Amino acid sequence: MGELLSVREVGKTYTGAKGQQVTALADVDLDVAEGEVVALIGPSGCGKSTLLRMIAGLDGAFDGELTWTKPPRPGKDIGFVFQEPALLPWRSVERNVSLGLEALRDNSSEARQRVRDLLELVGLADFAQCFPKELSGGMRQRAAIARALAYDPRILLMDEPFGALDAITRDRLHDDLLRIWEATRKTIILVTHSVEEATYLADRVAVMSARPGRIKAVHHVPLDRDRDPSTRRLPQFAEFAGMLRQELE
Amino acid sequence: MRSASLGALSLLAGVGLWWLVAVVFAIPAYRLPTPGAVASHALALAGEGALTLHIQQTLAEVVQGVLLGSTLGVVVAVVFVRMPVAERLLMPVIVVAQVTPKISIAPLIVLWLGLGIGSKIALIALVSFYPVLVNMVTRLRSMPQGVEDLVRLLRLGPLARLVKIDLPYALPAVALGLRLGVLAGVTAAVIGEFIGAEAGLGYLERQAAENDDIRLVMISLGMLCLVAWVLYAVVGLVERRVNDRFGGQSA
Ligand SMILES: Nc1ncnc2c1ncn2[C@@H]1O[C@H](COP(=O)(O)OP(=O)(O)OP(=O)(O)O)[C@@H](O)[C@H]1O
Ligand SMILES: [Mg+2]
Repeated sequence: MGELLSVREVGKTYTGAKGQQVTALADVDLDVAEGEVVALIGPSGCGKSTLLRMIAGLDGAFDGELTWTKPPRPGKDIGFVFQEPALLPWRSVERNVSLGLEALRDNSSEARQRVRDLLELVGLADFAQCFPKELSGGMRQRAAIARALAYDPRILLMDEPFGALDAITRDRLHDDLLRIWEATRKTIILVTHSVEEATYLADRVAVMSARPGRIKAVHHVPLDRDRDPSTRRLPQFAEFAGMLRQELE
Repeated sequence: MRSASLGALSLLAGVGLWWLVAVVFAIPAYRLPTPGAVASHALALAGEGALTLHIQQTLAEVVQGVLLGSTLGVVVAVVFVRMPVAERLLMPVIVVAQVTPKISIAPLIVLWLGLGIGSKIALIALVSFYPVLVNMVTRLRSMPQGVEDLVRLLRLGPLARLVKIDLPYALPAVALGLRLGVLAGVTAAVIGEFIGAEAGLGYLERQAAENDDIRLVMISLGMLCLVAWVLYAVVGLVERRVNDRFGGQSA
């Protein structure tokens, strides 16, 4: 796996409404290899969303350097699942999911089939013509996941994508994400609060600390890449998750 | 529909009171005609078709003026949000035009554009432009960060962004501005017709007042009330539809 992205000494200072300075990130170093799944965990407010938005190119005002070996093509290569679903209320679920394809002017039949497959994958096939307000919070989040995948981006950035879901749906989507990853080897950076989620999905886990946000440690997950629900019962799984939990405290 | 029947009831009560006052205090008909006298006169006039022209005129003025004003409001709002410099340059002028009493601007517009429909349309456009502009600018400025991010992530071009995101997102604000604009528009129409016109309900009312025809004054007034109410109700209905589909935050 070749290097894809290197984050060097990145810092971010917000100026608050009253002019006070908030250092959201300081001296963040992180390397991401092509095809790797990296989880970012850390306490609320430690700058996870800030870092992810920088990587996506949504926030250019920061210190330090972000270097890509193969820069993502704008509008094509990055799929982003935002912390809030941010669906457009006037578009049906299907038309929300296909927004990225519309932006690329891709209305091929493969693209349409892809949207249907993704809706099937996230369990919203029967709700394709519904509007967001007719969906539950978890269903909206699943629609947002499908939207991020619709144009088949090489890199998938996910900001707490499974936070609003019930345990069963969450576990199912974890396995779906693993399957998608196996089939496509996308590079995935996943922000999460759950040490189990990080352990189950990631190759490496970056643990962040708050105020100012820094990367405290990066751990390799000591598990085989072939994972399935039985993986959760392995002693190494519990051990690693326990170690992460301690590190967060 | 309880509220509708309640409204009708209170309206009826009002008319009843009017009747009672006119009869009990024996007020002369040139001061306060009874509702019956006004109604029968209105029916007679309507039978001759003497009211149709004026109702049509006022309606045409308000509809065209509000359409022109709100279209301008939408265009200017988009320009302001995309180019804040334009807002800083033009907003002071717009605010001055808005705080100046319309009744004092009306004679100028009538002098410039004449007694015909043009001057009324201009005046109505002037008053209905502002609520659409202000509401739309506010709404566009409060677009959720997630939607903003999505637009940038997908690299939507300026036109695609306008059509796919900005306009649909702003529709509820446009509808609200339109409802306020219609109310202001009817008032502006009457002002314009008072100042100088050849037709319209305001013109009719003014003529009637000059001829001491209190029944016709009341009829014109009632018709104006009806026209305003119908327009307001129609726009309100549209607004509810729009809010249903386009409203709410992007959840
Ligand atoms: N637009 C902004 N203006 C000012 N401060 C901001 C802004 N966005 C974020 N911050 C600050 O930056 C810090 C990091 O925010 P960020 O949203 O990245 O945290 P997070 O790790 O994603 O938290 P959470 O887990 O709660 O989502 C916070 O302290 C927050 O107050
Ligand atoms: Mg966050």
